[in-house]
Amino acid sequence: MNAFGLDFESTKIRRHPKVQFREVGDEMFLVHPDGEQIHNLNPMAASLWRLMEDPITSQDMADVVQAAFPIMARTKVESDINQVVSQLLNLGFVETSLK
Amino acid sequence: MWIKVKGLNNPIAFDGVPNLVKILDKVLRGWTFQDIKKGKGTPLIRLKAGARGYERRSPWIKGGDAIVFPDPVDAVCDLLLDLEHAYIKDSHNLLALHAAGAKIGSNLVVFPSTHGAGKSLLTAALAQSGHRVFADDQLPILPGSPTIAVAPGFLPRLRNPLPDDLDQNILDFIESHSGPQSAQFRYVDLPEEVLAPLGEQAPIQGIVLLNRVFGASPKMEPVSEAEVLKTCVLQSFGRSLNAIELIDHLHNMVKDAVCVKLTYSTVKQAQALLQEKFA
Repeated sequence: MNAFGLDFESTKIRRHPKVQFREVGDEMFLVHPDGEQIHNLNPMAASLWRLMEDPITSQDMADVVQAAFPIMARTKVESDINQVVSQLLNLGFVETSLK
Repeated sequence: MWIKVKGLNNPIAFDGVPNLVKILDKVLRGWTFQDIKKGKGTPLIRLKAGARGYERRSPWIKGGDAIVFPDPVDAVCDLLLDLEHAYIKDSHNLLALHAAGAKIGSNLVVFPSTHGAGKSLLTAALAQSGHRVFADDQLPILPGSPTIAVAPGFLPRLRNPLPDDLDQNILDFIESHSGPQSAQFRYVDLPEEVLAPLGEQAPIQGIVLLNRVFGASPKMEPVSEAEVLKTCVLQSFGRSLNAIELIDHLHNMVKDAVCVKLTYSTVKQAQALLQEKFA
């Protein structure tokens, strides 16, 4: 378990089914399930959102990010992913499911 | 004194502050008022004289407390925010942007931006060169294809003091069209031929992101659809649409418009580049 209560290797993250989104150029806009709030994701969060098209573990996301940015330290990649996933969970944009 | 404003479902209560109605009448164009008896309808916006100044209550004031302004012109300046909210609420198809808008030549150009980017001064400068002003701060829009700008019928309002480097011709124009003013703000009393009254419509054909940088060389450059859409989403307010509809409507507006970023230092520079691009 990490600091956010997620198991990095086994907890699968998926998009909340009621979240609608639009991707325009490099901007990603998520609409909260309440239909009112709009959130504009930063590039890292937008990349992870794309990876969450199907349920995915944080570890699998880290592998993809690490492959794209091999110069980044693995601990930094994992920390960034934990932070984004935690925020998306707190805001209600994603859900967890066990592997 | 209660006022029924044509186009609004609810009256506005001006209790003991008839001077505010007079100022309001001076800063609006195309709005129709009618005195009505108290008790006819339920005012959403209520103004009265209090110990600390002019108090206003409305559903759009955060926290539910009254907002107070010692100066009557400042009280009216802020009242226009509520008036716009009420107008949008009662005109079901509209949404609104924090944006200026003006017809440069035959093209309605929109400047979405928060406070401090120079929208109002630029609007006055465009009026000085004969372009028709739609809005200097709050612009209702009618979603569709094309997206339509709808004039709110408000005089442009400048913040005091005016910049030291303001072009003399623009300064003369502002001073010769002086409207109600306070220590903080001054309205520019534009003539009919350059100020669109409430409800005048025009299709949006240009969107300009303003980037005022002291000492910068003036330039106009292409800007991504994504950046413009992000700005427009951030500057939208008062909508009755759900969020995804809002994004889609604004995206349509952006796709249909010529989008540029204008970097400038003085209003005169911006005025010249905009005329060159759109007139």
